[in-house]
Amino acid sequence: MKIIVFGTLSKNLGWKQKEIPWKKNMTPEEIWEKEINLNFKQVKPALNFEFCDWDAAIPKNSELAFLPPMSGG
Amino acid sequence: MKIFQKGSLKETKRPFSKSSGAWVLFEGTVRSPNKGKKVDFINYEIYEKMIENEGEKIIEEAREKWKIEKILIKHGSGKIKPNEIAIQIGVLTKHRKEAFESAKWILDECKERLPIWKEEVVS
Repeated sequence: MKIIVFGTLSKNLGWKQKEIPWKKNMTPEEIWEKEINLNFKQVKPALNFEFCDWDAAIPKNSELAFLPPMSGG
Repeated sequence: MKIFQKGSLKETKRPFSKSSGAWVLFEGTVRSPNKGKKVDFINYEIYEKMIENEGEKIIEEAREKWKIEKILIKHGSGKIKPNEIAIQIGVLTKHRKEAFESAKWILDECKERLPIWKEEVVS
């Protein structure tokens, strides 16, 4: 599965996206803690292009995005 | 409707309508100076795969709240210079009250929910 990050989150991490192995019952919260774990406030997860909960179930071959506060306009 | 556009946005015309009498158009432009510094451009990063879905949801929700004939949401991407248009929100309704109210609501929702991040480049 793919993880993708944006904005200041991407700048802090030094990467934009990465592939990780999918495991049953993994959640966005667990992936955040394992792969990112930065002290960022107000980040929202999005699963397959829709906002999701931190404890959402992740289907195989998903794209999980971590979105820092948005600033359009 | 395609929300995401490459580069800055072009000025838009009022849609043709005989039955609706109120067209509210908001255009957000890049400004300089900002906080005392000259802005060269703003670089907008967009999550392209998500922006259209989320924009359509905002449009559907707005249509549940107000009777709207047409809704326009557009956002530019990449480098946008001062005086160029970064965002357009347009609403066509029968009367002005719902046009102003719905346009403000849509703009606020877009700023909160559309996956867009800006980086101001100053000199």
